[in-house]
Amino acid sequence: MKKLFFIVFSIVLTLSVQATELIQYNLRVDGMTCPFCLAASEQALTKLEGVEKIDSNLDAAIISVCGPASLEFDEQELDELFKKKGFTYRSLERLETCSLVDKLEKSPKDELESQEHLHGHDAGHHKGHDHESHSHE
Amino acid sequence: MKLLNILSRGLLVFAFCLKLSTVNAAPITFNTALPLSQGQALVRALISYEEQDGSFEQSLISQDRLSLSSVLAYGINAKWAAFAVLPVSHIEFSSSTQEFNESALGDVELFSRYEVWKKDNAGATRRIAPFFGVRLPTGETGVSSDATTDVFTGLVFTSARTKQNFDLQLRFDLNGNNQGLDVGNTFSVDASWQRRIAPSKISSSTKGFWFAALETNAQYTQRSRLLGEAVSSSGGFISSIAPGIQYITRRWIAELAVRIPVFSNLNGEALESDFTVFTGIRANF
Repeated sequence: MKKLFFIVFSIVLTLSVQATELIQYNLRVDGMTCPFCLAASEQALTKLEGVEKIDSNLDAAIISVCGPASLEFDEQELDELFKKKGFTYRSLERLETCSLVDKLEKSPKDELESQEHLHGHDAGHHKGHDHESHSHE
Repeated sequence: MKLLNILSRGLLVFAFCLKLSTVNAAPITFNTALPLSQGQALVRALISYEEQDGSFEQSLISQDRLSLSSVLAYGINAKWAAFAVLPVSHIEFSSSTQEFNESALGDVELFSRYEVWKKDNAGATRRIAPFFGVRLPTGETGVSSDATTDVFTGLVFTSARTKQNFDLQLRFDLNGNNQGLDVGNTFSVDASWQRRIAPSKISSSTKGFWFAALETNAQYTQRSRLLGEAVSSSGGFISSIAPGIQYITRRWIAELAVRIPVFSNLNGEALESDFTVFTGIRANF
């Protein structure tokens, strides 16, 4: 019984550590009007070191990026990156947990939840997340 | 027709030599609003077929023109873009006294656009960009060219949202003169509205979508002058409407539009357009 308890405890501990390993940034980028603009921006961001997961919401103008806790963005670099693409970088918001799933694993239900989640952030609801935000004009 | 074949093959080879990039909806019947980001190149092949008819000294005349306009453009930086338009035409002319077919290179247009104002919002952008260019007399005189060097300038306004785009072009062509013929200047207003019709919801994983387009064109041309005298069968006003459709994938756009004259008030016995069909493909690299 003790052994079983130990195994279950270890699994739970491992999973919880893994779940908190990734943090999330929500980047607000204005001027993107087509899914392919969005895809091009996502592609540019995936080239940055530390970026592990990425998803976006075109209507909310939010690109969400997950990576290790050490992941940090240089706002000037982001500004330049999106300017070259023809868009305007506005701000970033750091969340201490990553809510994104890998796109390849994503089901339609997950997609819907993800969209709702991002709309929630846009409206200023951040239930269950510690966050800090920075703005850039 | 040989010229058309060579040019279309050349474009295909050029396209495959470059890495494809993303594209976005834009007007079908004019080029100044084509979107470009820094370091991005664009190739557009637009085929148009126009039927015209009219009468001259009580003789019916008709002219069919098949053209291929090849557009090459490059985003020098986020605000500044350069364009080249190379048309090739095949013309079939018939009247009660004369009939001929001829293929010829048209007048090459080179122009540059610079964005002076831009306002980005969530899922929306608005921008204004003046443009300035020159049309060189590279065509065959009397067939696809009037042999004049012309300059043109204008302003293009774009408002794009996730579901629809609107583009407006104001353009003034200061036409040149050649051997005593002073070609009348032209002022035109072109508008294009594109609306996504399918799918209704999109995300970054959307593979392709359809836009319906509605374009209007209005053009006023001054009378030309030959050795100081007004040419009676020249200049006037024409306006048209062009419904169209675009299929947009991540890598390329295919487009089709039919331009139908709405109102025309041309001076003298000029040829009048019955309709023009536009079809083409565009890719960014």
